[in-house]
Amino acid sequence: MNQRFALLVKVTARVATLAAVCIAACPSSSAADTGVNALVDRLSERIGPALAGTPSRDDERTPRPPEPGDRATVVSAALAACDAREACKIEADIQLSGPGPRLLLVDAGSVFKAGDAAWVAAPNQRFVVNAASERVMLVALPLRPGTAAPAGRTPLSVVASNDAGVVAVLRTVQRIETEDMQRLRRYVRERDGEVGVDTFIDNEDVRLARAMAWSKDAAGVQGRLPLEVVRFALYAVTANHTLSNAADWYRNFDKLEMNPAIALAGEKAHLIELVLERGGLNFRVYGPSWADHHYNRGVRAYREGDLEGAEKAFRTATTRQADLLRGHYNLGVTLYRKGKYTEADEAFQVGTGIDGAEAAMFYNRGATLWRTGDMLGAARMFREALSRNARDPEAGDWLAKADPQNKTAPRATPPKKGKKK
Amino acid sequence: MNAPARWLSLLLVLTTLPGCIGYQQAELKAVRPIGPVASGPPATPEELNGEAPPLRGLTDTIPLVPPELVPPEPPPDPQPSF
Repeated sequence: MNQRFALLVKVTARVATLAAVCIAACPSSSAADTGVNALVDRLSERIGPALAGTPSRDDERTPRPPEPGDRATVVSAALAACDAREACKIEADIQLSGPGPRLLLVDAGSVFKAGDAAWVAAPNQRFVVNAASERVMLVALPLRPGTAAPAGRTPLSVVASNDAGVVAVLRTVQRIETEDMQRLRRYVRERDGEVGVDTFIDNEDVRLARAMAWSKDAAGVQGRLPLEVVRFALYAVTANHTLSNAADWYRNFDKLEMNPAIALAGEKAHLIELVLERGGLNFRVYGPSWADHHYNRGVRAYREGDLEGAEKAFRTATTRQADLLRGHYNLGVTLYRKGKYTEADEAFQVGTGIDGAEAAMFYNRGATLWRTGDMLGAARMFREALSRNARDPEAGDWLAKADPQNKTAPRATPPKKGKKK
Repeated sequence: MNAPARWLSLLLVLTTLPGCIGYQQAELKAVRPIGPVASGPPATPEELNGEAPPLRGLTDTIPLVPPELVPPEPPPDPQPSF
């Protein structure tokens, strides 16, 4: 009986000790509210003072210094190597003050720099840091296209990104690779040691899951977005790259001919647009499925003096989205500059018929009608422009020239005949 | 066939064969670099002389990053089990 009682006391004591350990290890309620885990160190918040660089551009700022405490700190970093496809490796030295292990999580916001060249670590990489001093290898991408990798092992400094677009892209990738995982894992099976999507269902989630690279580690099945998707989304933000630039990238770095390169860039476009859309960016400027993309192409062609290209792009944009006001406006401007005044008038006429057309649309139609010799038509348009912006001096001046006798003035409404009492 | 002729024919085969059936390097077309943006075609003389109303210019490109963009919040930290 005494032995049984002693055993019961021993078991109760062990359970109590385990419970105490669990309570101590659990994050506090305030930390849980902010999504911060007590065992995780986010890279952007753990940049040591010796590694922190001085911002040299508007889109950079000084990194937040690590707070004193029981945390891992990145004390130095160096660019180890870049491969032929612009994927780089950064060696980062971590120092641990206090007991381990800790999980170093690569989050958005840190920019590694060597002179003007800059790289960002691919988001969501995780490293378990246990020893007092450890070296980890981060996969990194150039922040901007055409970044020449310096020869040899190059020491780097770190600044914080002040570019909302870059942070939005990296955080979105992080969110897709963490929050979407619960949903996407439903379609993933392990077969013969290989992890991959195994379903006959075809929906947005399955398509996303199929595009991801799947693997299995101690934490379970993990899916990662292809590095190229992160790269092209970043280049879209930092260098206005679109699908055609991605195709050029494949031609340069994978030595592909034009058509396979375009096909490959097209395959990736859906994922890139998904990342841009979820990040709150105007994803419609990226791929040729959208009117905004053709509109931007038209503006660039026009500015380079390529009026043929500009006309074609604006016509495509307005065909894809019939109520694209600025598309009709710019098509009218381009046709006018080509000397096609009748066609320019048609473009402006469509634009003036769309709700929300501004004074400039009416003014330019007036200017175009002037060229065709229709002075009264021009005067009517200048009047419309004035009705939308009464303080438009140009419209007023040209109205006076187009209609000196005021023939287009609105007629005064005759007074209604009242009933005689 | 004597020895020099045999060597000569072998040399001919070796030098011409790769061009017919061997690996062919795809010919890459030059990629046009993105140059500085010009301002577009100039106004016509009639517009400059004040004989015709000056046309108002093109509207600008649609930016990928809206000026008012606020990046999404970072996801919650993973829950490691060491």
